[in-house]
Formats: sequence, structure tokens, C-alpha cells
Amino acid sequence: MIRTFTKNHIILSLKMIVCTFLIFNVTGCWSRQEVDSISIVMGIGLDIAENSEQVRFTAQVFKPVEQKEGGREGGGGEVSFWNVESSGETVSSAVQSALHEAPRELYFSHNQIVIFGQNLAKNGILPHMDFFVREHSNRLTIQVLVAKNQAGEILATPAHLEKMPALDMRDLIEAQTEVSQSGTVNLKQIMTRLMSTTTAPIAPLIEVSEQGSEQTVRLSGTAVFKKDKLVGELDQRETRGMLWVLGEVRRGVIEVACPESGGKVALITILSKPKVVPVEEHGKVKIIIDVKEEGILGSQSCPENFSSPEKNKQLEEMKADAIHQEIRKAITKAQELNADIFGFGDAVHRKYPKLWKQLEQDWDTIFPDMEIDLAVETIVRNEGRASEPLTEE
Amino acid sequence: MIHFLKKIIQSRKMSKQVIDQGAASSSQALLSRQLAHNVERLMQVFGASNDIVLREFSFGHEGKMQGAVLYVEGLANKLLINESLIKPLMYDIHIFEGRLEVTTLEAVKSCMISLGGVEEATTLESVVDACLSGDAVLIIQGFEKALVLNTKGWEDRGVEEPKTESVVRGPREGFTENLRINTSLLRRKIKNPNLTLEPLKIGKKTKTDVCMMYLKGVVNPRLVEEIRRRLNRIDTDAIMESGYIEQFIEDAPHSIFPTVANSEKPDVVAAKILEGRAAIIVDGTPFVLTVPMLFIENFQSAEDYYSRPYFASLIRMLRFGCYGITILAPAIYVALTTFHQELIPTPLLFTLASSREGVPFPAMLEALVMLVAFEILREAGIRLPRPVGSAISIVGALIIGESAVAAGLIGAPMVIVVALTAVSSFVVPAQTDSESILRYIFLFLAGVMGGFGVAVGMLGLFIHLAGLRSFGAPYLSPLAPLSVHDQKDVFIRAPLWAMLTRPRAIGWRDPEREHFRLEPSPPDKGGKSSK
Repeated sequence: MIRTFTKNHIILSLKMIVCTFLIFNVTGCWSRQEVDSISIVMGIGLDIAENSEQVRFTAQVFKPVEQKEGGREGGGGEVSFWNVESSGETVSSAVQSALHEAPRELYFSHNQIVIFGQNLAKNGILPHMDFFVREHSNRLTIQVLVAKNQAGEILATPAHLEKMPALDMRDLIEAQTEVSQSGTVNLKQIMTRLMSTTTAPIAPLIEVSEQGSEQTVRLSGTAVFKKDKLVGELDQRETRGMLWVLGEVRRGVIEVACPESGGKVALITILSKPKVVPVEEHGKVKIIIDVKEEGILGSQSCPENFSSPEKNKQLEEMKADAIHQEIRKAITKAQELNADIFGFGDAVHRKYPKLWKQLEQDWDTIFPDMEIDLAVETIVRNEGRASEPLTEE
Repeated sequence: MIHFLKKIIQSRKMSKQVIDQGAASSSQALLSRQLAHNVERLMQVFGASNDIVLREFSFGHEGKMQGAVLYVEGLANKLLINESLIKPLMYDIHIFEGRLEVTTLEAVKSCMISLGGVEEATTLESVVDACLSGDAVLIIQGFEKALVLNTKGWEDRGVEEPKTESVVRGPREGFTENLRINTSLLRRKIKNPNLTLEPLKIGKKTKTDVCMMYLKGVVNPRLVEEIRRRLNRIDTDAIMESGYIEQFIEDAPHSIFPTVANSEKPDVVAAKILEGRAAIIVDGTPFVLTVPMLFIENFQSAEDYYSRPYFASLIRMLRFGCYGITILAPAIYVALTTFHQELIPTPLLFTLASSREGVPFPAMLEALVMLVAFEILREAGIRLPRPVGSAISIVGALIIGESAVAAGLIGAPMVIVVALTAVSSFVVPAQTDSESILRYIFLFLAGVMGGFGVAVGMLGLFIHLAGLRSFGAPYLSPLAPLSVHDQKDVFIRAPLWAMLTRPRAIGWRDPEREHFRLEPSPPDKGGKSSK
């Protein structure tokens, strides 16, 4: 029982210690870097440089402001970001050459958004996507946007609520679930669409808009790609038409005219569920779309009372009609652009794998003339707190 | 040369032998019949010490008998000696004159001395020992034996509320420096004849009283045997405190974790004895050792059992959490800010980056400086006299909390992390020592290798803990090896009526603690009487 520390023990424990330290050579987090030696990138913009074929890279980095005694004052006074610009043949070389300007290594783990300039998007985004997948510190949850003009310009527009434009834009995208009028995608989703042979990638469009003297960024519809090239855009109603089919309408307002008097009724969607079923008929496929929607009455500007079952039914029909129109518009636009933004091709692939082998090559000719059946069912659940409308009486 | 060395060593050995022999011959010797001879030899042993009181007197019929009382002033109760020994022999003996012949030692012992503890001694050594431990010794002319009278009575600290292990609810008494008071405190808690005391004297020079206490029938006899063996192994000059004993008997002397528990509170020690542990009480210290010790004992407080189970369980989990915080918080902070910035939520990273802006040191050095400053403040606060102590804490708080941040030497988040670490370390008081060391180890690992280092460190820590044993009980029991029964008293504290058995690793000799179905409930309704 009595243990004595002999020479053997010492040698053994020395061996153990040496072995333990050998582990550290095998792996480990070797990139030690203090927080104050990195530039935290919050947003990236990619454009084509004006007079060359190079990529112009804009990184929005966080500019730490030294904390003074008594805390930060207001926070709004000082600009807490800095846009680093550089260019290179590839994104990687552009990132490297950014270090000619930026004194600290760029750190991508907290990056929130990537904005592709319109020109660059027209030439194809695939060559530039590789960096975001390969570089390990990039996250796949980065939101992808397409600028109507230059990406660098968007990043330079001052933020109004957040500290930085990039953060502002991230919040803007998150807020879109309330409206459901722009097709937001993150890096992973756009990669999935890019890798599919038929499904067309989409991305929300962003532009600078003037509001009085102030500049602000604004989401305005959806950019549509064919393969990896920008080919067109959907406006906000068309975008929602697409989102109904994709099942990504979380909330939104549909306005219909009051049936008997002038004025409008705003109906708020709270739930929607699509069903996309491809059906084969004599070697041809057609798509049956069945959208189920539920919502409530948001507000009305006419004095009609919709609380009776008949009126309610009427509202539901009008709403279904409005949704139907939106979806049709989106389908028409997609077929015009010959871009399968709904992923019908993948749906056929899943249901008829054998048939798909024949169709796959000709999908570009099949899709524009494809027959698409559409059915919309809607429910208006309740009329809100006021069962009867406000009238002058 | 070698020959010369050998000679020196030999001569040393010889001289030592001579001394030992001398000591043996003087103290191992038997008492003689001659009082004068005995007294002379005793005075030789004690030399010039003036606290030794020798009172020679005559008593008995016409003062025919000669006696001497020997005691150490201050250790023995002088009043008791006067009243119960000298007075009966010199005065009261005359009352019995004619009726009682007090001429033998037995007669003196049985008829004259009105004291509780009277023993006989035959050797000079036992007489000396008795004197030095506070007893009075009565030597009578013509007898080869001396009477050792229990007159221990020295100045003592009373039973007070202990400074450590304060409770809101629970007994306030604490052990004292007096072994006898301590054993009596335990006896009062456990009124059971099976509560056994095994006395021992350890320390060649100090001859410190050490006492092992356990509950026969509940304790594992092999545990008692093992403790006895380890205690008897101790062959040292002095035992000043129970910490001396602890270091001689612990299982893992090279570990930073203690494998012997200590407590200042009789209720805690009594509860541990009742679970099947053994206590080792050392004279001269209020800290009583208990073995075997389990790791989870650090997280169990006496108050857990006195307050209701839900709150007790919450606090129990809080303690585990605080233990984690106190050893890992600085390490994790350093790992996150220097290796894994991607793990920090973005807004928090902005705040951290802003606060680190302008701080001249790397995060690890920053943490190290703060932790060392904390240890300095803590140590200074303990050692300094109380009035000065408060000054230290004010200066420390001002300098570290305010000025260091204001001057930009230390980032504000680091102050928060270290403050949290420091406060958490006092939640598990029994492990404060190991916590401090672990904190530095983890900080170093985190600073060099980040999260990977912390993971390696945790792995090493668990391997080490799982390998420890305390007097045959696995240190991590009942977590590893897992004992489902005993989970009732680890992360949660089950209601007392549900704690049916003693811990498996300790008290499995007599596992049943109480009858089951003790859960209180309203009485059955009238008419539906239980049959």
C-alpha cells in the first residue's frame, strides 16, 4: 500500500508528460490571435472592377472604439465601421491584397452578408462562390444579396438603427418574414440551388433609395439566376407568388377590394402550406400546385360587416383569387425567363426518377410551356377584436 | 576517505544509541519504595522547570505516612487537588481515626481520594507522562506504585460558533482545542454505546493525544483496521494540528485534491460517523478529520439537510456550477477571445473588442495578472489584523476594479470574469486550494492551445479524479463507479424520508438508514381506516 517515489516512477511520469505534449503537435488551435489583432468582417461586397476583369472586393469591418470611463456616449456619434476595398483576380487574392490597406487580418467568422454587384452577377457568381465554401471561417448562414447597382455602394450607405450597414441589412432580411416579399437565401440555400441542374438560384435584390435628404437601403424584389448568371428579376408581388409555392410565406398582407362599397380589406396571412405534385400524362409531366392558406382580417376601410358566414366565405374566395393571381404572375415570369425558380425539376426528379433521365436534358424546352394546375384554398379565421366595423352612426 | 566517512557515520550511530539508552534507563525505570529516591529522580527528569509543583506532606495516624503530590501548575486543577486530595488526606483522615486503618495504597485509593479518575502507575515514565498531561501524581513512602489522579483542568476556549462553515440554520457549536470536549460534543450527538473511541498518542516529543471515533456496527472494520495501521505508522517528533496527521495518512500525497476531509462542526462529523465514516480527533485543534472522503463531500453542506429539499437541491447544483466557473471561467474567456472568436455572439464580440482596444497585454497575461492580484488580496486579507484587512480590501477593490480599467491596463470584461471566479471560489470552501491551482493550469492550457487545451485539461482532471481513492473508497463515487442508489445525494438532495440507505462506498455494512414509507401524508379519512 505504501507508495514510494522511485526512479522508475519518475521516468514513467516523465515519459507520460512528454507523450502528453506530443499530442499538442498533432492537432490543436494553432492560430492564436487576440481580439485586438483582427478585423471583424461584417459584410462583403463583390463587384467587377471598372476598367479591368478583376474582382473588386469590399469588406465592412468593425472599428472598435476604445471605451472611455463612464461608458460609451450615445453610440451614434462615431462611425464604428470601415469599408476596406481591394481588387484581385480571385476573391482570395483580393482578400490578401486588402491587407495592403487594412492593418489587421480579416476575420470572416462573424460575416453576416455577401452582396454581389449586378454586373458581376450577370457574368456568373459561381467562380466567386468557391471562396465562401472553401475558406473555413465562413459560415453557411451568411445571407446572400444582389445589388441593383454596385455592391460597394450598398455597403457605404449609412445605417440608421444598427452600428453598421451590414448589421442593418441582416436585420432587414430577418424582418422580411413579416412581409414575405423578397426571397431571402443564405449561402447554403443558394449553394444547393447552384448545384442542382435545373433549379434556378434566387437572391433578394437590394438598392439604395433616397428618402428626403437621407440615403437608405431598400429590398426591392428578387433576382433570378439562370445557372449562375443573373437573368432577370421579380417584383414584390411576383416574389410573393413564388414564395407561396416554395412555402416560405410566413406572414403578409393581401389587399382585396370591398365587394359592395368602395375601400379595401387587408387580410393578414398567418399560415400557408403548399403542395407541389408532378403528374405524368402520356410522357408529359404537368405540375399540380395546391396552396392552403389561413389568415385573419387585419383592417378594413369600408363599413361592411364580414362576420356572417356568407360574407366570410366571400372574403375567402376573394383572397384565394388574389393569391391565385400572384402565383400565376410568378409562374408566367419564370417561364418567360426560363428559370425554374420553384424547383419543379427536382420535384419531378424525386417522383419519377426514371422519366427524369429523359426529361433532364430537355428541361429548358419543357419548362417554358409546361402545364401548371393551380388551386388555392383559403380560410379567414376571425375578424379581430372588433367584430363590427367602425361607422359614423 | 570512505573509511573516514564510515567512521563518522558509525560514531554518530553509536552516540545516538547511547543517548537512547540513557533516556530509556531514566524513564523506563520502575518506582522504588523509597519516596525520597523517587522524588529525587523525578526532579532530575524535570530539571529546573518551575511550573512543576512538588508538595511533600505527612498524613495518617500521628503523621506516620509520608506522601508527595506532583503536578504541573496550569495544567492541573489546583483547587481540585487541594479539596479532593490533600485536604482529605491531611484533615478528613482524622475523622476516621480508630475506625479505619489507612495504611495501604488501596485504602488511600478507595477511601480517601474523592476524585473520579484514579489509576496506578509503576514506572517513572508513566508518572512523568501523567504529570505532563495535567494529572496529579501521589507517591507514598513505602509503596512501589504511584497514584495517578485525573485532575486535568487548564484554561480553555469555550465552545463557540466556528469561524468556518457558518450556517444560517443549524447548530452553532464548534469543536474546541480540547480533545475531551470534542469527544463529548460527539457523544452528545450520538448517544449510542457503539460509538467507540480509540485513544492513541502520536509524536515522540509532543505525545499528542489522538483519538479515533467510529460507530461500531456501521463502520467497516477493515477501515478501522487500516486507519489504525496508518496512524501507528506515524513516527514523528511532533503533531501540532490534525493537518500533520492528514499528511501522514492520506492516500494521494502528490495530488492537489485532499483525500481526508475535515470539519469544525460536531453535527457534520456526527453525520459522517453515522454514514459509516471514522473520525480522527487531535488534541489541540478544532479541526476533526473524517475518512474516507469522497469528492462530492465538498459540495455537501450541513445546511442542505436542515433546509427543505427543493432549495437544497438548487443550491447543490449551484455549487457544482460555481466549481466549474471558478476553475474554468478565466480559461474559457482566454480561449474564446484568443482562439475562438467565432464562438462569441456578434454583439458581445463587439463589446469585447472595444474593451480590449488599447489593452497592452495579451488576454492570457491580463488574466494571470488579475488572478495573482486576487490571490495577493485574499492572502493579505486573511493574515492581516482585522482593522487593517478592511483597508486592504478597499485599496484592492479601488485599484483593481476601477483604476486598472480606467487606465486601460485591464479590460473591463476581464475584471468581471475574475471577480466572478473569485466569488465562486468561496462557494465550495473545502476545495479552495485545489481550485486555485487548477485555475492556473487551465489558464495556461487555454492560453497556449485554446479550447483544445481546456478539453485536454478536463480529460486529465477527470482521469486523475477517477484514479483517486480515499481509504478504499473511490474518490468520485457515487458518480464513477456509478451508484444509482446514491444519486439521491449528489446533484439533488432527496427528501430525508427517501434517503433509505447509507452511501454504498462507505456504509454498506449496515445499509439501512431508516424504514421506508416514512413520507409524511395526511391521515386517512375516517371510515377508511387502513388495515
